[in-house]
Amino acid sequence: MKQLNMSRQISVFLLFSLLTIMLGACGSSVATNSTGPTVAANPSAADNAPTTSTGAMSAAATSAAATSAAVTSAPATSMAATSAPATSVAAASAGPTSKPAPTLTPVPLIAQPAGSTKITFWYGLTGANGNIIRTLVNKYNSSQSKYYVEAIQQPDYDATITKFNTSLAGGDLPNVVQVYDIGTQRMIDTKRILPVQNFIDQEKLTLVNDLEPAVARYYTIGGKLYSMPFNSSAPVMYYDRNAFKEVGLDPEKKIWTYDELLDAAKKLTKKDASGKIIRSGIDFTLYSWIFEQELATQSALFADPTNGRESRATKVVFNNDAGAKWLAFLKQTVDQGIGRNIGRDSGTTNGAVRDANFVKGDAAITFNSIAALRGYINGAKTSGKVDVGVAYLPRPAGAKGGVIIGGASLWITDQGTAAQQAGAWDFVKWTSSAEVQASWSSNTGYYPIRKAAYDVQVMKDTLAKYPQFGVAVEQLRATEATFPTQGAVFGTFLQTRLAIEAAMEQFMTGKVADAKAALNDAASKSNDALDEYNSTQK
Amino acid sequence: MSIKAGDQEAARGNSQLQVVVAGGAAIAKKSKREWQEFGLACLYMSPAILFLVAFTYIPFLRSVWLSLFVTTPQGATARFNGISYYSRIFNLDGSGRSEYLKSILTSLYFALLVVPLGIVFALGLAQLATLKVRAIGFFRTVFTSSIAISVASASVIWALIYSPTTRTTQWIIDLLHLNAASLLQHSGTALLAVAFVTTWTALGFNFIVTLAGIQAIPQELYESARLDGASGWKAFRYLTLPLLTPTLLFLIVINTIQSFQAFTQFNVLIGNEGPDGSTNVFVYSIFTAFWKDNRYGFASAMSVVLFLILLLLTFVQYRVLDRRVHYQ
Amino acid sequence: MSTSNAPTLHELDAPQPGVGAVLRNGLLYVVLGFVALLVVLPLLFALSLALQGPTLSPSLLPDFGKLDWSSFGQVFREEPNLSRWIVNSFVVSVVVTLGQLVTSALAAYALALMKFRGKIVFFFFFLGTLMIPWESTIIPNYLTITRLGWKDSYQGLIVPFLAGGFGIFLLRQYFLTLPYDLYEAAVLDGCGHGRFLWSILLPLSRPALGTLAVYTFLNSWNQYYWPLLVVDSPEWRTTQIGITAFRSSEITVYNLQMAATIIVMLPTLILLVLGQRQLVRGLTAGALKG
Repeated sequence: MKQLNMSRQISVFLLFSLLTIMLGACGSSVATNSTGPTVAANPSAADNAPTTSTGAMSAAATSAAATSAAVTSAPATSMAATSAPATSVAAASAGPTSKPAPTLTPVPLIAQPAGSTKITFWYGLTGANGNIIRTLVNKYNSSQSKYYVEAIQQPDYDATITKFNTSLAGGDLPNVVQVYDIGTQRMIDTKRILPVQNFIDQEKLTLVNDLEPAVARYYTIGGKLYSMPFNSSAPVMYYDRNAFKEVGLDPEKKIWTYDELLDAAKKLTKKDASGKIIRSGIDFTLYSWIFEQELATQSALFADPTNGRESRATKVVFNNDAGAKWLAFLKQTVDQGIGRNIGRDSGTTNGAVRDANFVKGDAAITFNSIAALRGYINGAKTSGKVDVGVAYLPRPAGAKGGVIIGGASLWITDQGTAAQQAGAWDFVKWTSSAEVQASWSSNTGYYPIRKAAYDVQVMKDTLAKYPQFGVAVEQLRATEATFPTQGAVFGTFLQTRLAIEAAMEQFMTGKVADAKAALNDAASKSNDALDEYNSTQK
Repeated sequence: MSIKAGDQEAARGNSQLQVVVAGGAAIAKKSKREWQEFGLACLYMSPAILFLVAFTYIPFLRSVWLSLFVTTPQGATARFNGISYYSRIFNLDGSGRSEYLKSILTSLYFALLVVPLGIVFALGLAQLATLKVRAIGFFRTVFTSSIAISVASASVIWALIYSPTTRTTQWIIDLLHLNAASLLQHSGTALLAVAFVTTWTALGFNFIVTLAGIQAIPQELYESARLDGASGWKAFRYLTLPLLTPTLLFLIVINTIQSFQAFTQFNVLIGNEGPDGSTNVFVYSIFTAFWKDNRYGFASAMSVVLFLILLLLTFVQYRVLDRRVHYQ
Repeated sequence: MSTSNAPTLHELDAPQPGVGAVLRNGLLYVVLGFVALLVVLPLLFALSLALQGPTLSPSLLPDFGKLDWSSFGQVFREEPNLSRWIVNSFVVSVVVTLGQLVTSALAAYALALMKFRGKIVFFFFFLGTLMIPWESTIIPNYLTITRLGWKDSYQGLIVPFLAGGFGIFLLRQYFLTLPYDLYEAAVLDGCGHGRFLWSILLPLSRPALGTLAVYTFLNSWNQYYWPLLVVDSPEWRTTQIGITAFRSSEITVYNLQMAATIIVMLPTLILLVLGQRQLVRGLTAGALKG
């Protein structure tokens, strides 16, 4: 019994020490509120339709830095400038003396004015990007009094489309919903969509002509623009200009072939005496999105027929030479000890490891979305080693294709009254205006969907500040309009992405020696799922 | 609410009771009283029945129903599919693809890692915790501490322990010459790494059960064993261990079932089917089909299979528990 | 937990007074201390990282000269929803616990002390729920909750868990151990079922109720799979979903990640320290459900 008492006493002591820790924490946090900014070197882009929450959220962290940068660059016209919380985001680049400010405090939405028609809007971006959306919505709501947009955050893109589908039966649909690129076919298949083309035709707008052509192409199916692009991105190759100069490579070269890149990576790789890699030539994750892009650079189709653009895609065909070539290239870098496979991207935090390696200068080259640019630049500033350069995605010699856009678009549903549908379109149309897009782009790192946005001063300032950004736009515009570069649409894209990443892994780890064989397996799994999906659609 | 309603009912039943006690035991009255008692019992059980029917039985039957259909992404049945999902799972459909069987085997393998590890650790800790020294209670609290730590919290912590950035487990990677950035990214170590986390989170529970088992062994047995010259290892091997068998069997069954249901640690630490699918346990396969692929019919078929597997294990569990009662 | 229970082998080798015994004891403490350290090492690791400030390359041990406690305060500012998550978890766990106590006590009472035809049917009805794993019902449950529009709501997080076979059998078992005379005496005194249950049986069953309460609370607090499905917006997350989501969004901010995790672990750690006995009994019994 005595020992029992003792254990009680010790337990109480433990409890008290825990409480002390808590109190100590609060106390000292008040005392030392200038311990430096939180590390913002988290430029995992994943804006191009992250397949899991992880991706979406790391993208948010990226733009935390991005927001602040934009705010300092163009405070007068910036969207974020209209909202106090968003402007208080501390720039990671502002040096260690700046106050750590909340990056995630949600921007409060203004209340619904009496007499206005309510429009519900689901969005899947989180963190700072989500906040910029909320700021936008506030701006729209205060710009007119007829409609009131209620913005409702979803955990990520995946959850948004899952919830949208399961809500179909219950009838509790939003009027406007933000859905990622690869959800396009599934959204059409819900049969609850009002194509934005209808509204455009009704109002005889010429807006489509001013859309970034590659973006408009992506969201046009069967000649109809189904949804309004909102946040668009594109993949690029990031490289450390300092490292390139150090080993005598041309830091201005924009287009690299696989072979050239292998040579470059060899030069860039630094090893210590024991043969351990200190700086790897290329760090990459096994990322289906980039794989899809490499098919496009080689003008290879992803799905048949015609990437699902003219009629419903009936099978995937990514198990072609183009896909095998990309896998072989990645494998070569690892086999030659000049590249590192950081692991599968979807559903993991490996993207963050890749990003951290790049901004710390531990890897000279990596592949990611252009939306990661600001995160990379800010992270590089923190580490002080890396000068971020942007180039086209590499391609085999002679490849003539280009890249596919990524990101998300806004869909209008047939939910609600005619007034609500009209309001939904009014809001969507507003988000696509040059001014809003310029501001959105300047605050986030996505590129504007409107060509006219480049004439807006904020956008000009942003391009001046981030000249690397121009490379992504240039690459996009250099892309020829073909079915391969238009991107595939089919109902089970997410499953296919997971299957591709699994296949990439099998090949990279040597479990399947032949790249084609690994891809064949992924394709047959994907086709099973696609057959089943198509069979449920009439 | 229901308690009050029950009170009134009870008051009525009670007056009946008194009548009976008073003497008039007519058969008709008896049967009426029985019906009243029945109604009252139903009333008492009704909240539990309501919730269990609504959230256990009906959903379960719907799972079985859905498993026979191809479903739309909205979760509605699209076309009858018979048992082809089941034959797909067990690779009886002639496709030659056995990833779901493999997934079940991965679950089994995971259990085979988690259960022995957990029990050996628990035995060791429990032996230590029976030491007769001052402040042993403190150490017992420490050994129990992981009970209070959720699998999600533990996974978040261990994700950092395994992370290449903290380099905490780099020495293992170097030692084994693994070609991977972390233990979670190598097909040979990933499942083991998750199993280790699982063992840690289960440690507190396994420890406390084992300790209770050891403490239940009568002291006299040890005294007589000592007189026979058996002490230390011998006493442990020939006395503690056999007498602890029921407890250990109990732990084996519990841990096996729990490891079959493990999901959180896989979702947090791995987030997909793992390197070469090496951590794709069955529950995670279900999650993928359900949540990522929105194939509700197929996921339902898998969840019914999981039910059958667990039923088998539960059956074993009750057998073991019966024996446990006989032992004591 | 009392050591007045049967001592074991080692206790029989009780330390004799003398230098050897002191040495032996010292050695035992070293061993115990070392093992205890190993067991809590992950927790210390978490604390260590929480105290290292924002760094991309944390080390195993913090610099004890300048421990940075600010992360514990900062995390509340970085993630303003953190306190909301804790409130959510508390509300959900408390209501689920109360609900289970009520539904289980009522059903267990009927099963244990009332005589009625077809009892065996009900008995197996409840027993059957123990056989059905939660994972086998989760898909239809998810579809139902979505259709009811109960995502992002307390009812979505709570209602499916308001009754459980385990609680019913735990209490039934306990009620059966109480002397039946008690019931007969009460009946003779003119006491109805409701009053007997409320004013006699339940007060007597406090240990079992406590066990069920602690077990249910802990299980509910630590839930992950279900809230992951039915929670969309950040403010409706429970602590478990919150910290894993926070980890994903602040993947490189190790100190905040760990601070958030430690904060979220505190309530159950405190529960362990305060209610260790109930907790232990609950978990030991709770293992039956698996």
